[in-house]
Amino acid sequence: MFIRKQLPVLVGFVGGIIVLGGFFLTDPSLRKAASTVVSWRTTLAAFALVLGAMNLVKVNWNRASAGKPIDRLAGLALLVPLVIMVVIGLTSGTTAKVYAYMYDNVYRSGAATVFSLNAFFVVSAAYRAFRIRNAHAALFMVAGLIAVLGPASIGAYLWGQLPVIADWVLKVPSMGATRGFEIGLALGIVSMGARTLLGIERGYFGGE
Amino acid sequence: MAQGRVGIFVFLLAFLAVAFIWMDSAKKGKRPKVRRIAALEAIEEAAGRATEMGRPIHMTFGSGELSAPVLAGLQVLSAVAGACARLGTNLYVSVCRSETYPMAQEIMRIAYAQESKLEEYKPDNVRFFSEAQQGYTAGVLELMETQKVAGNFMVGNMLAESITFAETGNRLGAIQLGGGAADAMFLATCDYVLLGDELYAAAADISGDANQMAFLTAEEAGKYLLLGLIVLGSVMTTLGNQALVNLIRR
Repeated sequence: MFIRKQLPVLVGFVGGIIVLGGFFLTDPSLRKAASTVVSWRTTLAAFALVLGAMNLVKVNWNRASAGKPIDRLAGLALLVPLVIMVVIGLTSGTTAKVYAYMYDNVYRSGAATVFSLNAFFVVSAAYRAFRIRNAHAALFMVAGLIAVLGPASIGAYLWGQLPVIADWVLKVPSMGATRGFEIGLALGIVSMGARTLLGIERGYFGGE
Repeated sequence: MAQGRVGIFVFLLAFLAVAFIWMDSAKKGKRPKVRRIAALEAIEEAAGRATEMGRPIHMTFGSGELSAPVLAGLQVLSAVAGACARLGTNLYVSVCRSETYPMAQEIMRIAYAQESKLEEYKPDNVRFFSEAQQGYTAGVLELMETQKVAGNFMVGNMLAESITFAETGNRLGAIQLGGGAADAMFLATCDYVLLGDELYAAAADISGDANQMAFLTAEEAGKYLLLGLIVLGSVMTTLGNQALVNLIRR
């Protein structure tokens, strides 16, 4: 029970105090210790990555072996490239030409495609957000239009003062609201960090 | 002490002092009052609706690194998993950062155990897709589309993927709750938003722990202190006195 409940809190507390000490104090050995503790995170993430990869293979193996035809295809579409990349990476290294070719021409183009979907989603979200349903939404739309049109070349073409107003909107009301928001957010993070460090916040291992 | 960090250190000590005073008060039965957070009540509503529709709920923490918003998101997961276990709703959790994966599994397991429904807990419903942002995005989109999710919770370190998930959820007619780094996106797309520090207040509220509530009081006190310092600093600087600015910079 000590290993499941008290030990993680103890490790978190000691590690947290070292990292905090490295932040506040100038002692070189303490700063080095803090840097070492932070680097342990990479090691822990590597172990977790193995678990994640096992989950990915298991779920997709089940889909490929027992699902509907479309599920089989989806499962195989993930498993086959996964195996190919692992085999090439282990035998030729991650700097091999064939590995780089697969990464640049398969993964990167796929990733760019997924990322480009954002443009369409932003437009549809903006359409809904800019619909004037009440006074707040109207204000939001006016401010949004000024902020979008102002810096664009068409803004100055429509009205010479538009870029000046857009600059004011971004630098005064928007900046003021953002800073107030960020102060609240920073205090929330300090509170969450302190709770976690002291073992009061235990949500990350189920709150037990 | 490192240059420029004395002020932060003093503020941290004051913050902890206020929190400990309220923790002491909580032991004597005096708990701080916390207003109801509408977004948290949406958890039961979404789980109930999903059960009626026979569709699952999806939760994710974003592609950003494991940080305070993700820890708050994991606390929200315990409430979502509890509601799903209670109502018999299927819950899918997708993760991008591998270190979040075992935590999410453990939280789900405990939530199902607390509702005496451990036999209904499916470890494989916690899905790891990829550490790469776009691989993770593609995986979540596929999961949301194929499972036709009726509830979509996005609480954590959400980055550019937030708008993609929120718009997909919107198209599927899912009840959506957002919270974390992409608040502006969520305001435009979600039914409920844990705005700014509400996210951390929600984490404390869900736990129901008086000690965690005490930290919320310290947060509020910190806000008033900072507001006072901003006003005082503005007046002093306008009058040409840099004493406060120099003190904070030490």
